[in-house]
Amino acid sequence: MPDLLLTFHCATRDVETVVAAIRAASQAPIHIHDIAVRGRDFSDARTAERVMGNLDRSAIELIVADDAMTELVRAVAESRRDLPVRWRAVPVVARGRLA
Amino acid sequence: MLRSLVAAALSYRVLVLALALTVAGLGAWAFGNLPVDAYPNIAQTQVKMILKAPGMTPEEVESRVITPIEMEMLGIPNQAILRSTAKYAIADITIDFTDGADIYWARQQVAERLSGVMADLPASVSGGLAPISTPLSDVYMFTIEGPLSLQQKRELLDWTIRPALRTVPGVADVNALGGFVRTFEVRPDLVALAGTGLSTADISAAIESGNRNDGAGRLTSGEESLIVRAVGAIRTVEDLQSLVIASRDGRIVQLGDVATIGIGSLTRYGAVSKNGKAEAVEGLVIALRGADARQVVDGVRARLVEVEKTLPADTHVNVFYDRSDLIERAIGTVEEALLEATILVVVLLILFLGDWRAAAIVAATLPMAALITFLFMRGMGLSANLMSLGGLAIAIGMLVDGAVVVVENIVERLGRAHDDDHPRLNHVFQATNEVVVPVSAGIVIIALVFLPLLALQGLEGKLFAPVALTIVFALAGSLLLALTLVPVLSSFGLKSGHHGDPWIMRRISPRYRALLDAAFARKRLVYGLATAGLVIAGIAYGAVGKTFMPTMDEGSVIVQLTKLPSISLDQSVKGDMAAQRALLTVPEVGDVIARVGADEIGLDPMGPNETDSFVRLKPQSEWRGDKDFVVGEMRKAMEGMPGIQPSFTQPIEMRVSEMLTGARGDLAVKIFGPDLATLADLAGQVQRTLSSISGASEVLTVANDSVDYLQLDIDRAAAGRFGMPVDRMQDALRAQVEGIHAGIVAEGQKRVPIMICGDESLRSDPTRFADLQLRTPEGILARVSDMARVERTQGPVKLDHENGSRFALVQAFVSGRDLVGYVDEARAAVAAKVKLPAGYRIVWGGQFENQQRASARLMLVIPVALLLIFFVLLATLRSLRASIVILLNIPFAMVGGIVSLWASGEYLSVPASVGFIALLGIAVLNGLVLVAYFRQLRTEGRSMTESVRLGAERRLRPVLMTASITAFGLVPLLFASGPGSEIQRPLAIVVIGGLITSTLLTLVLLPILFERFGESARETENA
Repeated sequence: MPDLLLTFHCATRDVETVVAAIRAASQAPIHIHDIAVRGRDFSDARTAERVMGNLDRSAIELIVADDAMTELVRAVAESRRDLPVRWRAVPVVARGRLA
Repeated sequence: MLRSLVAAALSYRVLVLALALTVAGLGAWAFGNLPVDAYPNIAQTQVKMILKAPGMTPEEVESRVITPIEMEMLGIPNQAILRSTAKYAIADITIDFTDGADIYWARQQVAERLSGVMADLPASVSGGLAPISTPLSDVYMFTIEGPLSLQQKRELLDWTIRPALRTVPGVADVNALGGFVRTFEVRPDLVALAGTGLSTADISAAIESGNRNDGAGRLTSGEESLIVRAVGAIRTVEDLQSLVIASRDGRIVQLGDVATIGIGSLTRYGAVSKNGKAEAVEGLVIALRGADARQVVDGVRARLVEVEKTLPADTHVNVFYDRSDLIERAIGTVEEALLEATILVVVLLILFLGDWRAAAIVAATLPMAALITFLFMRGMGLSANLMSLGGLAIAIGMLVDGAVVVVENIVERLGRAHDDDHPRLNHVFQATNEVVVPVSAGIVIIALVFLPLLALQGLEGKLFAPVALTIVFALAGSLLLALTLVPVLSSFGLKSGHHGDPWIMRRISPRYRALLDAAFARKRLVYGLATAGLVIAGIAYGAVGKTFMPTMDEGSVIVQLTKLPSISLDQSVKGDMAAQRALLTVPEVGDVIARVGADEIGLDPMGPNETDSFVRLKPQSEWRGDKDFVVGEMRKAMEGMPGIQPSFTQPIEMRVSEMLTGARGDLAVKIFGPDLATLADLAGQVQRTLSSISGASEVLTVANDSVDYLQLDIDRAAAGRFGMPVDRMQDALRAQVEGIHAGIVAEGQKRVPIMICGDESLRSDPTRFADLQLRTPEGILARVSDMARVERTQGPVKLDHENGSRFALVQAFVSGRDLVGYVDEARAAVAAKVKLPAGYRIVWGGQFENQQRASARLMLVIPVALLLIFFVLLATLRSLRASIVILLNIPFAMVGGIVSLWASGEYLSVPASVGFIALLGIAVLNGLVLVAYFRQLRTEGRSMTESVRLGAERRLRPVLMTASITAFGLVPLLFASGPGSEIQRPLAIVVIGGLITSTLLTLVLLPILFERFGESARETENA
């Protein structure tokens, strides 16, 4: 089975909580991006985000083995977050490091 | 930053609501605790010294008291003017300090120098610094009524009522006027005194040394100690009679052997009479500078209720002036106008917005802005008064401008958003965000136009700075609310969905479209009409009278009476009572209480020929005409009274004039020069010239007046032969007439003076006085006429100084004509008719001076404000041409203002100028609303013609709303009739009249001008 690129989309202020939960379950390197989401679904949004019409989100990415995914998702689900976290996993077809 | 503020407010809506409620609560508390007065604090930093020099003539007072003090005082830093007046027995020295000088620092400077120079003054001179008061300090006046004698009433006032009232917080002092001050009077029998070889100086020394209780220490008596007390104080007339003044060869001479001793009274310098019937005793409560007048009056009233319980049977206090009446009526006038304006504004909002929810949200900003303003006022130490609350009334229409624009845009956006899945909060935010810059720029522009008022100096600065500050505070509050509370309330209260045009706009819009069509078809006619408007405005400006301030009706009238300078106090009182009886024939007159001569503290040291008659009018419902009619009737009633010259003023007006120029009257002409006779001659010429000019109701001068003297030129050789030193002779003479103070009798808390004085018959017979025999230190009896040449002569009534130079004063009261017009004519006439010798100069002052100073200052600062507005426009629009086109709107706004002023018969005064300033702001704001939209449409790619036509039609509603709300907000001031309405009315006339022409020309001329000049050829090409 190929490794998976696992991405968690969470509120920017929940990043540290989510990262701590992931770190407890996996040693894989974690990449964090700040992203602005011009969403149409504001059900997850805080009041300030509804005002600005802009969801302040962060994307937390890590590459993990297929069998570790369930454990990581459970760890994030059990973390003490404020807002819901969306996640997705896609297979990593190829990867490398160019010096 | 503003965007973040809006976002934060919408993100924390509940917090904003909670904060709004807190601010409202604090604002309400601040309003309840604001110091309240009729006027702002208009007093400059002024220190007054009042010195009493018993028996001294004005020339003596000038040379022996005023000159040394002036020399000492001239070096004090931050000094603006040093004024002095020498009158019989009184020196009145006033130092005005520059604005901003601390009153306590100033008093310390003066006190230090005064204490240094007091040692050089004659020993009989007493007095010092007057209490810290202002022209608004006379807050409460009353008389004591009942069966008691004048002496008993005065004693009651001096020793019961005055000490009780002085402990009320905010009371600087209580001035006691009228009646007789009880004394123990020692009248030496000169023959008996000569028989014993003693003099009045011996009597004085004996009383002084024989009037003391003292302790001698403690004695031991067994196990106890005894305190030794030696009782020798005089307590009764009998004690005085038994006082030993000499002891020779076992025989004693007692005071009763050589003098008649009884109860008398101090020499009076003033008196009070009432309703032409009898003399009275008056108390005058003086409030401390900066005290809350309403609280002081409340405190005094409460204390008097307590004191009245302790007064003798049938004796009571009759209040005839209570400042809180004026305060309540003045504040009531403004509060009523504010309430009416609020109702009118709400009605207009519903009419124009066609949505009661939107109207309610905008209307909510009105009380909130007012409450925020009260918080600012409390923080800045401003009092609630006619001017500060008037500022709020002026601004009421402008306070909703920002909220209107925000709410209108939110309504419009929510109307388009019903099928959108964006959060509602985001729509509210976006709608607010779109108008943040124009709303802020508009409010900043209106605030900027009022800032020149802060640059005004003198009285006008003190009066109008609170107006400007209140407006700026209110506008700042309204901007804050427009960007925070209004979006929050809109997010809760406004409904999404389409809103149709309200009824009023459906009626007006087609008509406006037709008018615009006609205007664009006949541009030359529009230009012609606009030019004609400017020409008419120019003509109206020339025709309208100019004055400083409209006179505020204080409700009471002061009739100042001037009589022959040589008149005695008793005759003066008789004249006053005759005048009171004449005044009481006018049906509108309720009471007349008149004060003649100097008061006890000496705050208003008038001569015995000068009287202030306080006229209390009946309720206005009982009048046959207006105040001018009543004053006219009083003037008629006073006509033909021999030797009495009346002039009419009001309590506060009189004090303000005195404070500013040291003189009363609309116009004070001061002629400076060294020689008294020349000054008197010039003053006479100026008086005749001023009297001949139309509009002069009263023209007065005392420079020509003189009083009769019985002059004793001491022959040094003759006096020397009798062994009589000059000072001993002068003291002996004073003892016979004025009396000399020889000590005090303590009666509990009362202090009754012991006075040695001459026989009453001696005081009323100059021939007997000249024959008076005095005992010299060498024991020789010598007749006064043998030691001095006695002759009747004449001398000045008073001598005035300003910055050390003598001047003669001519005062003029102007009525039925504008002050500036009168002064211009008077100046030309005086320049033509009065030839000034070398070393003499004329200075024109009074109310007129304030008008000149205010005009000069406004001419300087208004262009600066216009420049600032231009920069704001440039920063907002980023277009030089567009900014200039907007500024072109200003002259047309002025057209309606000046024409309406002219048509209404009001004068161009400082309040009217404030109206023009407000108009300037609204005209620029309306221009900005239109031009900004024209430019927006141009950037959207529309043609210039389409942009101006479409832009004007679409912006009709905000322009009409801004103008009509501001105008209707001022309508209550137009019809108000209470005190203070006289000040607000010219302002309201100017703004309402100006808004009519300004709005019309903004909506018709501005689109035409913008189409022609709004863009350069290059900009048009780029577009």
